[in-house]
Formats: sequence, structure tokens, C-alpha cells
Amino acid sequence: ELAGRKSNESLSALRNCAYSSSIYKHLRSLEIEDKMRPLPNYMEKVQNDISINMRQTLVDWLVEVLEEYKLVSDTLYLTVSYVDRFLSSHALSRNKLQLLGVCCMLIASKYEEISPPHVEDFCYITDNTYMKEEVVEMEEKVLEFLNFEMGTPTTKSFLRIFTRVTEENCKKPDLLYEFL
Amino acid sequence: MEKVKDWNYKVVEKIGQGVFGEVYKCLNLETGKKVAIKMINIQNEPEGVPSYLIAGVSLLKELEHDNIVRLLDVLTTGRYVYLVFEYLDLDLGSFIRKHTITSIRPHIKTILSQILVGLAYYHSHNILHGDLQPSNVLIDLKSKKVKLADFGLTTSFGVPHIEYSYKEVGSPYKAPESRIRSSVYSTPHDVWAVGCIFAEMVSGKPLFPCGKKDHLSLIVSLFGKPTKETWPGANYISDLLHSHPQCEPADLAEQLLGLGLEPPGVELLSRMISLNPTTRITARNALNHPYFKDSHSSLSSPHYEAFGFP
Repeated sequence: ELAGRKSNESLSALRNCAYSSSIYKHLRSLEIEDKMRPLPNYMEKVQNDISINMRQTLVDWLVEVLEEYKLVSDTLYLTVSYVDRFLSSHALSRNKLQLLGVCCMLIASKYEEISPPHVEDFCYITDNTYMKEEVVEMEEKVLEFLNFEMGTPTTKSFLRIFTRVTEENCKKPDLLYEFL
Repeated sequence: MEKVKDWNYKVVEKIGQGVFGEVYKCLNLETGKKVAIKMINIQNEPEGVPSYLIAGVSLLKELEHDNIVRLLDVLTTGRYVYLVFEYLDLDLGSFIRKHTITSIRPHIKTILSQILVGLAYYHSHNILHGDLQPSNVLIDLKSKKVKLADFGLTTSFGVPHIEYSYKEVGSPYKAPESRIRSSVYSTPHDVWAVGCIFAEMVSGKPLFPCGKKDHLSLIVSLFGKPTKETWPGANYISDLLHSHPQCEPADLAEQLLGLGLEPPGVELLSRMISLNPTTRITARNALNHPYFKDSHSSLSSPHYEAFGFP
């Protein structure tokens, strides 16, 4: 599982302890930036067709997609963060919610995975509810709206730094990640 | 180009052509400022927006520093992605070619320190530059700022190892450990490149010119064959070095002193181009090196005013 990290950990700068405290500070400051955070009440404020339950169903389904394509958990955290950020300012009809979900997962995989699944894979997993063109079009919309700022720090980015700093010789960091 | 929503740029001229697209010098019609726009064609991308762009642009967006060329904006149409960068008049490569080493000498410290400040910023943000070379170091004559650029959008960009391996051949600014597949590709790699740039400013020519001999043998002829002492990990490359004749290290220090570099400068350079990546100085520590002791004052000295040269 650990082999899958692309941007976060293969950047062995992290291994370079000389910089780990400033990297931590940077991630922390990114995390609290407004543009990286969804509105806490976007369901009431922005959405008129989607409910909290539908979002929950979507996330549960995304977890299954993640397992199906053997993606790393960072990809899931990023996906959900993109979905929430997008929904914080776009009222979406319920029949497009799943499209948004796969598009965000497509983007997150491209950001995080070494070999991301293909666009077709994401169409297939929706029972071909959406066409390839629709996915690609939506992808561009999401990227443009999120301004190509896809590097949201996840819980795992922080946990990685902590485990490294505290337990240099910890042999089972994977186990810790499982608890997330 | 003009079809893009919110497009308010006027193309002045084409300034470059890379693997991934063309670069244009443009004018922002609103602010009157010059920008460099990189145009990337994605219409033939079967998978939508390519991952190197997603990862790369996200990283660039995180970098906001005086010594790093800003990515000002990203615009998209169905078929193109436009990256709008700050524009600077001159790159260090042409600067070195156009001037004699004696006229460059007074500016080495300020240029080098600004490169290192920019690089330390990269590294503290968990990002490697990966493609430092004089043409990627831009100089703004008006503000006397030096800024690191990265229009290549290749390895440097996202940094993932897989893309990196495509570019095995390549820049003479690559560190020796980059020749070892299994080695850790990390921050010391960038510092090595800065060391090469430093030496190039002093001598007016590349430390390891590309061309006739391969990169590794040039390195070996300068340092001698790596030993257990100079580079404990060197046994990795022993295969590569097998055919190299044993040779004495060249006396680089003497040459550089002869070219007018002060002894602390020679010491700093030797720590930047240490063969062993684990003992190579970090960008941040390099900035605290005695060589820079008096450089902060020179930033505002009249001497520095001559930066533009007649």
C-alpha cells in the first residue's frame, strides 16, 4: 500500500529531517486555508436537490470503487475533499452526483496514484451511466473551479510526518494507517 | 487563444518550444505587465487532463516566493491548458554568455544566495525542483531579483520517480547519484546543480559540459574514482565505473582560486558538489556559510546597481 504514494512520500524531502518541521508547518497552513475547506453547511445553504444521505451513499460507494481499483487511501481523502469543495458553491442535481464523485476520484488518482485507472474504468464502474465525454468535461470543470489546487493535505500526510518523527524505527507504520 | 474565457492577453512573440507545448511572451491588457504563457495542447489526451499537469500545477500553485517565478493563472479550454507565468527579461545562461567572468564576478554572491533562498523554499515545501540549470534561473534587471523558473514541466514538475527515469540522459547539471537507478532522488540533487551553476558563474563555462564525454566520466575525471571514503554508497555504481581508468582528482580548488573565487567560496562549492549526497550541504545551511557573510550588505550597495551592465 505504501508503494502507491506518489506526490507525498516519494518526495523523499520528507526523509530529509532537516526540512520536516517546515514541511509540517506548510501543510498545516495549507490545511487551514479557506479555499481548501468546504463550507460546513453547504447542504442547507447551497444544495437544493441533494441530501446528506445521498452524500453518504456516494462516499460509501467511492470506498468500494477505491477497493475495486486498489487505490491508496490518500486518493479517497482527496476525492471527498474535492467533492465537498465543489458542492460548497455549485448546486448540483442528484443525477449528476455520481458523475461528480467519479470525476473527483479520477483527478485524485491522477494526483496521487502512480498508475491511475483509465477514464473508461470510471465509466464502467458507474454501469456506463455516464459517457467518457461527460467525465472528461466534468473533470475540466472541477479542475477549473478548484483552480488546479489539488494538494489538500490529508490526515495521512500528517500521520506520516508524526510516525517518522516519533518512531524512526517503527516497523509497522502500515498498521497505524489502518486505524484512520 | 482568444477564445478562452477571461482572456485578456495580447501575444507579443513566441519565445520557446518544448516537448509539451509552446511558450509565448504576452502582454496583460489589463495591467500592462508582461507574462510568459505556456500553451499545452491536450486535445489528443485520451485520459482528459494529463496527470503530470494536475500534479505539477498543484505544486506550482503552492509556491509563492520572491525568488520563484510565479504561476499567475491557469486557463483551460476544451483543448488547451494555458499556464500564465511571470515574465523576466533574461536568463542566467545568456547572462553568463554575454559577459566576461570579471564583470560577472561582483554579482556571483547575490545571484547564488537568491538561488539558494528560492531552493530552500522549494525544499521546505516538500517539493524538488529537479531541473536546475542556468536557463531556468531568470534575472529581472529592474528589480535585481533572481527567480527560479520551471517551464520544462517534465520531471521537475511533479517529481514522481517514474517520469524521472525517462530523462536519464539529459542535463549536465544532474548529480552523480541520479545515474543510480536505486538511489534516493532527493533534495541534495538540486544542491549539486546549484554547485554546478556556481562554478559556471566563476569560470564562465559549464563545469561538466555536455558533448564528447559522458557525464559520469567527466565527474570521475574531476573527483577521481569514488572511494569508500568519498562516497560510501559508491559500490552501487562500481559497475558503471568499471571501465573507467583510475585517475587522480583534478585540482579544481586551485583553478577556481586562480579565477578569483575567495577561499570560503571554494569551500562552499566543494560542499555543494560533494560526491556523497548524504554529506552534501543543504540549501538552507549553504546560506549560513561564511562565504555569504558580507553579501547582505552588498544587496543595497552601489556596486549592485551595476547589475544590468552597460
